[in-house]
Amino acid sequence: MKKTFTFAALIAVIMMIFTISCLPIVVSAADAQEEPTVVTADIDKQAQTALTDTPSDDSPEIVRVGKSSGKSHNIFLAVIVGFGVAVVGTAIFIFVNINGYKNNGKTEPYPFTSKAPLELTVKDDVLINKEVTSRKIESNNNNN
Amino acid sequence: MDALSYECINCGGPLQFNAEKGAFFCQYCRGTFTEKDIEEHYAKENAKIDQAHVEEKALDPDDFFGNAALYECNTCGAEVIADKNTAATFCVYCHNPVVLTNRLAGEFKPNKVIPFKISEKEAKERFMAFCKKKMFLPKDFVSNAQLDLMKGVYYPYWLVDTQKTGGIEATGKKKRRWREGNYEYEETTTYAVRRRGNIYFKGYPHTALKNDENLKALKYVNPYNDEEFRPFTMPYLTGFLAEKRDVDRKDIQAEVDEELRGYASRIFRDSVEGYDSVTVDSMDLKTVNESWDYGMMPVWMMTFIYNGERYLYAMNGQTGKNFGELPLDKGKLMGVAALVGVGLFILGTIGGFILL
Repeated sequence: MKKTFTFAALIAVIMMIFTISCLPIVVSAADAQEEPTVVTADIDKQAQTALTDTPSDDSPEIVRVGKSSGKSHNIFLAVIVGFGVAVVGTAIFIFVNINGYKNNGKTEPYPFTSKAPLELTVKDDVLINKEVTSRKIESNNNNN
Repeated sequence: MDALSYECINCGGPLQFNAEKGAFFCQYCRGTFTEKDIEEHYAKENAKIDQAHVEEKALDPDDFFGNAALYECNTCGAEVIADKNTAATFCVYCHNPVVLTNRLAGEFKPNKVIPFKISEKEAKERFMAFCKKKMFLPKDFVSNAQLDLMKGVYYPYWLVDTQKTGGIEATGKKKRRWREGNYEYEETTTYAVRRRGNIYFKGYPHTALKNDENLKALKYVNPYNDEEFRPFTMPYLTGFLAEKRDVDRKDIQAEVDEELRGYASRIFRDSVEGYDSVTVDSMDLKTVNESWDYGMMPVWMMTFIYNGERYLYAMNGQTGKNFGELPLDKGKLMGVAALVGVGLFILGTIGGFILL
């Protein structure tokens, strides 16, 4: 039992480290194939070209902006999410199984619906109060 | 104390009640006999019944053997001690079934019995099928050695037939919602609800053992099918263990009344229909008439010791309904949980990365 538990825990830790360490490689491989998502041109050159209607000899300068600085942040958040999902999911799995092994077959011991028939002699339903409440519904159109 | 063994009419071998056949069976000559055959035979030839002599030890409460009985097996002559509640057992030496007739005499004689309908073989098969679905059971739990520990036992129950009369006062509410323009309206209508009537409880079972550690199991193996009750006779106990009751009616009257009151409350509450919410404000109940019967019900029992704790598995010997607290191999569970955790971690990380 101890061996099984130790072995499984070891596998779990190794796979977690492997997954975390592979993520940056996967991310950078994906980035290398991507087209730049943001293109900035020399604004002055473009404006001048538009005004003078003379094609510019220089091609606009392509600059990749703002993508690399957020990558490590995303990886970290993804790992946190993965860890949270793993902890919650595992806890639910353990709880359901432990609960399922206790009190198997704990059902109603006396089927009173069939074995204890009721013979009603009095059945009164008397109205004692009626009230109406209202509330205004907030509409999104009011904000526009 | 009289220890009685029923003998085969053909060959004199020990007879046991066979649940599959619903009759008495001789393991030596394979003869099968009905209850009527046995009664007629023993009425005709009284000499066939060996009255074993048993010395009842002096009842010294401080003595280890206090409240126990010493009986002599009439097959092999061994002297065996039975505890205070045992009414039928097997000789531990020759394994012949023995019924301790005095234990079930007089006020302790049951009125009725439900014979075993599920044989030992079928009980074991059902148990194996039940265990197949549970992957975290310890390996030893489903071994042949463990299965051999399964025993058929007749347990004593008090069976109550009673008529209760009374009723409830309750408050019922109905709600209705609708919208008009920018407003949502809710109408709440409140009713004073009154229900009165008679409830006829039939065959309400309560275990007739005082401090048995199996009480919970004996409660939840119910219900039994009342239509298969037969008038009690001793031969039904042969081949099985049996316990006699050690609880009188007056000892459990209050407890049974409280349980029936709980059921009555549910029954009256269920009779109030058509409301979104019902609150029972008060209930009154009184007993009109009541009768108590004492019956023996069949249960297949097995205990298992794991990590110093005792676990009990019980099966209704008539319907096959299971009840038990099963042992859990925590190592196996943690191992599988770790693998599940890894899988969820990978999925969660990938999912988080895609979403973020």
